[in-house]
Amino acid sequence: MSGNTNRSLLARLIDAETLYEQAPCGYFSTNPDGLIIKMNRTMLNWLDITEEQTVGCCHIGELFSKAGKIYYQMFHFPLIEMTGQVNEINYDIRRRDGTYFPALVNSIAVRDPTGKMIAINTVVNDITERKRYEQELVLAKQLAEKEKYQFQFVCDHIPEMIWVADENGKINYINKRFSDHFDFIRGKSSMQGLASHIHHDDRLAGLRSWISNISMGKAFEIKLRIHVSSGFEWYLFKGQPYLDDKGYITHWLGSCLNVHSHVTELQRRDEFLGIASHELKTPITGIKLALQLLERLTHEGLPKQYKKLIEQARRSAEKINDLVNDLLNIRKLSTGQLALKKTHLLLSELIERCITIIDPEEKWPIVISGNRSLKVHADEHRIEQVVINFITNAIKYAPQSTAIRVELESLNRNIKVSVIDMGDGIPREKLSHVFQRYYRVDPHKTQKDGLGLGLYICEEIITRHGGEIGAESELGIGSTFWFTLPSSY
Amino acid sequence: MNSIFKRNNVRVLGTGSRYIVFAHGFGCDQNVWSAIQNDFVDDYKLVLFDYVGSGKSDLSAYDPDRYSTLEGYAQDILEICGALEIQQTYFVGHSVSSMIGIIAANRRPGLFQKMVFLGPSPRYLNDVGYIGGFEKEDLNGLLDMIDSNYLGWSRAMAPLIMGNPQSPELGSQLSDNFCATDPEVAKNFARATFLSDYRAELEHLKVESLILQCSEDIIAPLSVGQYMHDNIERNKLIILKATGHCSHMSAPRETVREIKAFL
Repeated sequence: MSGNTNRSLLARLIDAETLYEQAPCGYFSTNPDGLIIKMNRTMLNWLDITEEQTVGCCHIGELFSKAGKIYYQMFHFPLIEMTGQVNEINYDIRRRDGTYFPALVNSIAVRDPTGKMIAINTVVNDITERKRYEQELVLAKQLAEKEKYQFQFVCDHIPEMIWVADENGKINYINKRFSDHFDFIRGKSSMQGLASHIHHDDRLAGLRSWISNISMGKAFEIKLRIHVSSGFEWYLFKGQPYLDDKGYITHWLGSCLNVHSHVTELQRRDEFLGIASHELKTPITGIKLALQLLERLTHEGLPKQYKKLIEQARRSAEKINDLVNDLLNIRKLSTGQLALKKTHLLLSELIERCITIIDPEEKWPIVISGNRSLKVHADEHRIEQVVINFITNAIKYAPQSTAIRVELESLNRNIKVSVIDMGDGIPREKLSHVFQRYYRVDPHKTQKDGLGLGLYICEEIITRHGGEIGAESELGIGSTFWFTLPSSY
Repeated sequence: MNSIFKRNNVRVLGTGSRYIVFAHGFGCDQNVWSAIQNDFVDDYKLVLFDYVGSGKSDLSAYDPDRYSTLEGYAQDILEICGALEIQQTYFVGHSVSSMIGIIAANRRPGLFQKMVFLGPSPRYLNDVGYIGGFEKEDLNGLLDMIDSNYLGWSRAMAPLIMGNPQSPELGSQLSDNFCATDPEVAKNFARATFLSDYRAELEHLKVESLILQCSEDIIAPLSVGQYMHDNIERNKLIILKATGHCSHMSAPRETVREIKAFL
């Protein structure tokens, strides 16, 4: 393109007449009375009228609806007179055929040197498209408001107490039921003051557990006592992380449940069983002693059948003794009396000892595999209790298993012990409950199950050692019960 | 008394001995008188004010019930006169303030010596045997426009779309703007104005009065001016050359001349 063409193009671009007539917006001027005295080509085209039909004979009001006319007289014109200009007034502008288009209208006063208004210049922008989206936006906003209201309604009236926390675990929302439940936060939307109402014995551990669970990003449950009008009651806080589409935790969502009656019920049961088992301990010892004496007496010529009966009675007494010991353990656990006496242990030796106790006659195909040199720092007696429980369970519940394998392996800083059977397996919905107190996989087969305390005690023992415990199972293939312990160096 | 001056942003101008109360119309405030007020300051004491809800009045004193009819606004005028201890005064009212003035005059006979009405109307809606100039849907259209043009399109639409604006300064210029009426107040005033029917008040007016009617006024058509003239005793009707609804702004000289000739 030559320089000449550029100049002529530029000259055309800034030609005042062309600029005015073909501007991408409507222009027109009126005298102070509103008579139209000039209008550009764009505006005439929009209105579909000629200059002759408009200029000098048409009043500005004729461009507007009746409401627009009133608005012009009552707001628009006084505003121009007083402030010299008016911006962004939304009028519906009337075309020749009686249809309307939405427009934004700006006006400015033209004054003579004495300040008297002699004309009004007005710019018109067609906003048909914008108006359409604007309506959509307003509708969307209304819809969002409605949904927000509904959500609020559900949150406030659901019979559960709900909380939401940010990614750091700081609670930033509680529903109405929550704030209504605790009088110290009633009417507030924050949890300010909750911590000071937690029972002194639970406060530090509860907060620590909260912080560590949040930082690990795992779903959690925390049980603690909170002071309410009737005194301290037990509450269960459950938390679940909410992940965004990239897998990052953005929120925590959780509930708070009053579990006071449940907890106190369990406590009462433990207490009763503790006392009952303690009382049983003495007569059992008496029976065991009596049976031992009887056993010795059988050498002195009593019929052979007697010996067999005494042996049966002795086994039954042993069994009662084991059960009573379980119950006593529970009492120790719930009252915090379970002390650990830790020593350095070679795990494979410990397991071999357990196998000998369980199966002195080697009737069962129990094998040890994996690293036999692994050592732990733990309470020998308690770990034995766990291993015996696992292996006994495998024998009890998977008698048809062709092998029971005890595997030892080293995982990072932990040692893992797994007891693997090849029995029927445990249905998934039951597997998650096996470590719960008083839970029995099949409550009808009472002769197989004990009180449902064994695994619960195992879990407590392992947890107190700083390890983890778990179970996996597949129907028809077998089950694996495992625990980990921190390795000793 | 102070509280009423503050409430209605009352100003008294001029060095004359006789009072004139100037009452602004719907959608405006006392600034509408700026083009003509200087013509009166030498001979009169001008009482300028903003109705509660308008201009720089005390918005906290706004009571939607009181101002849902013109009676409430008439009460404003009577209270201002009372606070200033005015025994007798002239009255100039624009648009709806003409009827407000008539209501005030009928409630307190003897207060007004002479009254001037600029573009008055006792009823805006058409009725059987009466042409007020408006249908109900015109009024609804106006209420919509007040909604969508509150201080201009952006300030009307933005809160609708965004809810509460994140920048509070967006709405803070409110009190400094002319005609800066809260949209709810404006709509309440519009309803009080355009749904009113005070034709029955006209025959009770005993004060000598003047109607100044523009020749082309969409809000107060000629037929309305004629109706008022026919129903008010001791009334004079003058049709101005000026068009529109605000002759005191668009044609101040002509308007001042006629008012002075009458007073």
